[in-house]
Amino acid sequence: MAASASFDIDYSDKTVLVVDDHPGMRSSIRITLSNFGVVKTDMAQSAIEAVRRIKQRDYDIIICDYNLGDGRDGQQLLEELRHSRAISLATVFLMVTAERTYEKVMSAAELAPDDYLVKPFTADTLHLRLNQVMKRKAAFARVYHLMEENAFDEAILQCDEIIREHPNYTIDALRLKAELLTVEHRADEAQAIYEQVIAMRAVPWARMGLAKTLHMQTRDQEAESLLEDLVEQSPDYLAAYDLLSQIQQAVNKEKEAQATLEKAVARSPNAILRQQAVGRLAYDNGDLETAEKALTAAVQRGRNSILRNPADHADLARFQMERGKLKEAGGTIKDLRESYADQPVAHVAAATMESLLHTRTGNTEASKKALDHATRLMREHGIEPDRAMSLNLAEACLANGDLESAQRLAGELVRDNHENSRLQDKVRKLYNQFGHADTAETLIAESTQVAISLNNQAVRMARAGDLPGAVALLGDAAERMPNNVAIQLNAAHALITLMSAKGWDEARAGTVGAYLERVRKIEPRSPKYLKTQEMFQDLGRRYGIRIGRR
Amino acid sequence: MDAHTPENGSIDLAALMASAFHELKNTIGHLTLTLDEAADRCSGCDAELADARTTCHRVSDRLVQLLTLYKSDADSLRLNVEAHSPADFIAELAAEATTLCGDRARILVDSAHAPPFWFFDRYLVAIALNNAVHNALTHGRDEIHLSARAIDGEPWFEVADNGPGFPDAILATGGHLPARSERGTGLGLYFAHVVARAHHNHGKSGDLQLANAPGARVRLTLP
Repeated sequence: MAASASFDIDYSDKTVLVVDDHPGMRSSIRITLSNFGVVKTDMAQSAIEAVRRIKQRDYDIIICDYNLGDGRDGQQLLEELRHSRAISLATVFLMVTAERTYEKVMSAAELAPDDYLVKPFTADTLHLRLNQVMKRKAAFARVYHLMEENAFDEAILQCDEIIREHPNYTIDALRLKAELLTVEHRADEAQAIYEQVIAMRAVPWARMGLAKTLHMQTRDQEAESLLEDLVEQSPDYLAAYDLLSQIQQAVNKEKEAQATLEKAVARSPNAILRQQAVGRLAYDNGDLETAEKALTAAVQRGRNSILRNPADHADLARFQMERGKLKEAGGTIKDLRESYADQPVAHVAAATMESLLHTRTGNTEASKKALDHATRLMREHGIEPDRAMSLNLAEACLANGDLESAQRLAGELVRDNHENSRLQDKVRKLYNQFGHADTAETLIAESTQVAISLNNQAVRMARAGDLPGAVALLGDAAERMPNNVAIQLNAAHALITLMSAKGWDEARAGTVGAYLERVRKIEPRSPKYLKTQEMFQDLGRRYGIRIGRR
Repeated sequence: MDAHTPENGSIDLAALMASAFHELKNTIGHLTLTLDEAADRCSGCDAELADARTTCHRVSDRLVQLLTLYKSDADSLRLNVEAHSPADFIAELAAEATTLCGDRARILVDSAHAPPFWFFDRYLVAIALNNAVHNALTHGRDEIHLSARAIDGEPWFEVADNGPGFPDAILATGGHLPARSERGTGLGLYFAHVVARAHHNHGKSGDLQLANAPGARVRLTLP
């Protein structure tokens, strides 16, 4: 057969965005594209401009250089766009890299672009690669559509269809199928696929996937040793450090967990989420210096990112205060207000941290004023403080002698997390600081007592054969303490047990789903949650009902 | 501290050369793009431009080969192995070869019996085979055969021409050593050998085989 490249895809109606900080490269890619019929090409010279253009217009194809020159790289842009669903799964994303960075770029990514082009490339190479990716996207179009409709079970079946129809996409289809099974908590099935791929070739993403499914089945020791091998053999594969660190935290190896993440940060200092995680781990480990350094990086590098979070500024201000760097803390609080000018929740955080700062400088009056301001903002905007903010607020209340409000905030926090001993330690430490150690003990005992005795009573009832009674008792408690993860899970557990005995019940299943959804919002990765979710799915399967992700 | 100046003040010449190669490679990359643009705007000098582009590619590939070998010496050559379609891969190679060859040679492709997918480092294998295409273009006659097949589930890629074949001195080394000859430095074949050997799977490594059949034939087997 004589070689003739078959260029049969019509690009005249395709919208393309070229992201590159070099004007010469942008225009040369545009000319190349126009040679094979692309007429709708937009340009962006930075990640910020790319995000702005993508918000204004849907692109079929994005061609992005890895080095963007504004402190962010193409991989981060891709991750932001995919995680925030700013681009659909059908959008083609081609990454252009220089030979010097290619090796690192390619092996670092868990979330891979659709293809890589190494500079210099010819017009024909770009055209052919684009054609290949477009064909692959067309083969996966139905799966993507099902995924966007949240029809995961059907999407999983569709992957098998792709393997039958397009054997050359077997590995892509297996990878997507395993990812979907993982999302669906069908860990054992996902595990089998990863093992199948590893039997062909031990590619890093398959080893990573296998570790993930082992972790889901609480086989943490196996997962840990697998990941230790993986980071050793593929040191640029950063997602492996994240999972390894998570598992180390789950088995109470906090120091090792921090060290693992620091290794990943050293390789890729731009990743904001990882900097945030390092900062918080280091703080809990008493390593204030690392904590401040990591959060400073998270704040600086997060400026133009959708992954930024006002809590980063708040935490950074805290770390700076605890290191005695009060002036810097003041600057961070000011920056918090300016960076999130239109977000009330950020102003609550700023006022709270300001109150704490004034306490440290001995300005009682200003501290009180800032705290009042925070309280008023919360009332006006109906803001419910999250865990970190509750603790900061409780501290400000204690500092200002408002024991009652502190009691309410800390009490609720402890009650809703009555099995979380680390949080209780934080509350203890906080009260100790203000000379109220005894109050803390009483508060923790009282706040946990209700939940504990309720649980015990339910367990006794269930053992005595009164399962419906236990369900009623826990159901009542679940409504009164919607943020108490353990109560939600126990209530779900009791209902699942009841249905195993008495049969599937649509209304009861709906209630279980609601409990699990509450937990998912607070602690989506807790092993107990995953286990209960799995029990629920097993039960559904017995009655021929597929329970998907909610 | 400058990366090329170690503490004792002497110069790490190898590292300096590697940096210079990088710089040269980027310069060549820029030159290639300029030529692409010139080809779009000018007419009447297609043959000369095609020739200039071929030269740029040769220089660029040569620099990448040197840099890769330099890296593999400092550290073990780390591959980015993923699943690819050998047929798509050969089609891409053929398209580039067609552009390079113009009307000097016919490119013939056979990938009908290739497995649907295989695991290999597409980038490095492409450089190795591109080099073989360049050789075929320079030393062969008017046909270049590109093929992908599998024997016992192990695929190989092949570049063959209808020229006089390899000189005995090169055949004797099998490409396993850089052999200087009237044909050049032998770096390209040595590079292909290193890339093939760096592919491991289930205790087996890849291999490079040279033969005259009767034209020069380069075969890269990947486990």
